[in-house]
Amino acid sequence: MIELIDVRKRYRLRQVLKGVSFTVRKGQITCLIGVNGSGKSTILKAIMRLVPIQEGQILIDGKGRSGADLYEKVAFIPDRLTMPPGMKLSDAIRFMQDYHRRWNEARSRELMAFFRLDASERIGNLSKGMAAKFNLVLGLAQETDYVLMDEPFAGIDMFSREQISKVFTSDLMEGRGVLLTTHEIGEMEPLLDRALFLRDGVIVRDIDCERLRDEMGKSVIDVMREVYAP
Amino acid sequence: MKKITGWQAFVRLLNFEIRRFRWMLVGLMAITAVIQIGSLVTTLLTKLESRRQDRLSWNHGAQQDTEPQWTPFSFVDLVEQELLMEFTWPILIGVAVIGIYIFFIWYREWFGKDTFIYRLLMLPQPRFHIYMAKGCAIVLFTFSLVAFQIVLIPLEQWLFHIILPEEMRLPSDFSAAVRVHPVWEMLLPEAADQFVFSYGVGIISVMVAFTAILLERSFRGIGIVYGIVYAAVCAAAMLLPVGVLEMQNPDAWLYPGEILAVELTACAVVALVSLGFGYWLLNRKITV
Repeated sequence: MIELIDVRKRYRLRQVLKGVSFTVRKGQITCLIGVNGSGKSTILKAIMRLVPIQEGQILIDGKGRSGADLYEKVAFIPDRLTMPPGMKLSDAIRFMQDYHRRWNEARSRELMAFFRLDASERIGNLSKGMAAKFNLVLGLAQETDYVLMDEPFAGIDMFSREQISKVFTSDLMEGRGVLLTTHEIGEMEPLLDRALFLRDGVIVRDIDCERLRDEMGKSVIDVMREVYAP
Repeated sequence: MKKITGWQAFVRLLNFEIRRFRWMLVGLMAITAVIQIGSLVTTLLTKLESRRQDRLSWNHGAQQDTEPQWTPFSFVDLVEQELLMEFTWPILIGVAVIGIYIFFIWYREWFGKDTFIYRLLMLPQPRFHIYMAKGCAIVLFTFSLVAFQIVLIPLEQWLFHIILPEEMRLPSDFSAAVRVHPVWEMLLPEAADQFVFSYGVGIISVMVAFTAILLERSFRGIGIVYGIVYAAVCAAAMLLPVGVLEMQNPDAWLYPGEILAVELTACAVVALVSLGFGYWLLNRKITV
């Protein structure tokens, strides 16, 4: 379980996170929802220790982790492809393979074939959609217990979104804890187990999506309207 | 699952950094070779052509009554009297490129649409390997250029011998050639302790610059001020012992050996603090 306890983060004078607490469980897809600039990406980066936090604790399976202990347990798929543009896709895969003990080569080949990516292509030449798909390859071919995804659908076409959505229902996500941020709630709603609503630097609602649908007859978008409507 | 050791991971990162600057290094080597060899060859050919013209005029009984004289000279004489600037420019270009590269090696990971720093910081190995790989890459870059210059000097001497007939030149050896050029002398000090001191100070300066860059990358706006202040404090710590204690002054408070010990201690402290501070920033404060 990923556990955030009273996490506070300030960018200069602006307090972005004012005591965020929530958990992400294995085998569940949890969506972190919030308006632009609310601190969703900051939370993901803080979990990955890519930005420092001022206060609070972030525990992975009960322990504060860093280095190999963290990066072999949690994979992060940022909102952009984080490899040098001059690199070929095959070189980028080689790079990951070289350093990540839990890199699954067969899975990376499978994903490359599924997304119809050409390994000889250079990263700088990829379209936005192709780059998003390759980003998923780099994140999902790591056999980690948790996967964090920052806006996996941002700015990509409908067909690519459908292809990426299929990944969430595949065995690639089986047993993993997934925490993602997205503005494309409609696409993802049927797949979500939990939704966390971030507003003014704190989690204001933590809902079980199945119960919301079955017992209250509401959708996540309905709750979004309640939380964020002016 | 395969397991790579920390050492292997570091060597792979270093290899990765070397691959990233290899074309820049090849370009600088090419510039050095073209400018130095080109200026040497053209100067010698011009001199020989001018000599040929003078002799032709003399043979045709023109202005002069006496046969034009050729004063033999050595490779060292030629470099000292005519090619000092031509041989200096490529080295200065190399120094400037390395100076810029010390910053570029870090900043390129953040800038552009594909920010590689995410991937580097998320490698399952100590983050300090990134610092060390970049530092070693700069050192290797520098020594590769110096080594190339060392190879180039005998090659240039050989060309000098090939172009100029024996009776028209004087002998000169490698060390005389190095001593005659102030920049070569600086790059290749004769004494081993001077070599260690010069390059040691250079390496410590790179560490200070890296730490200043990491301060800026961690604290952004105000980090520029922190970085400049840190670099200034380190520079003062390294320069003050020699400056204030006046090593050359016979009436100085301390003996030269003692001043040197103070200086070496100051350098060691700056190096250790920079490494420790860089380690802490990379692990605790860095921001993507």
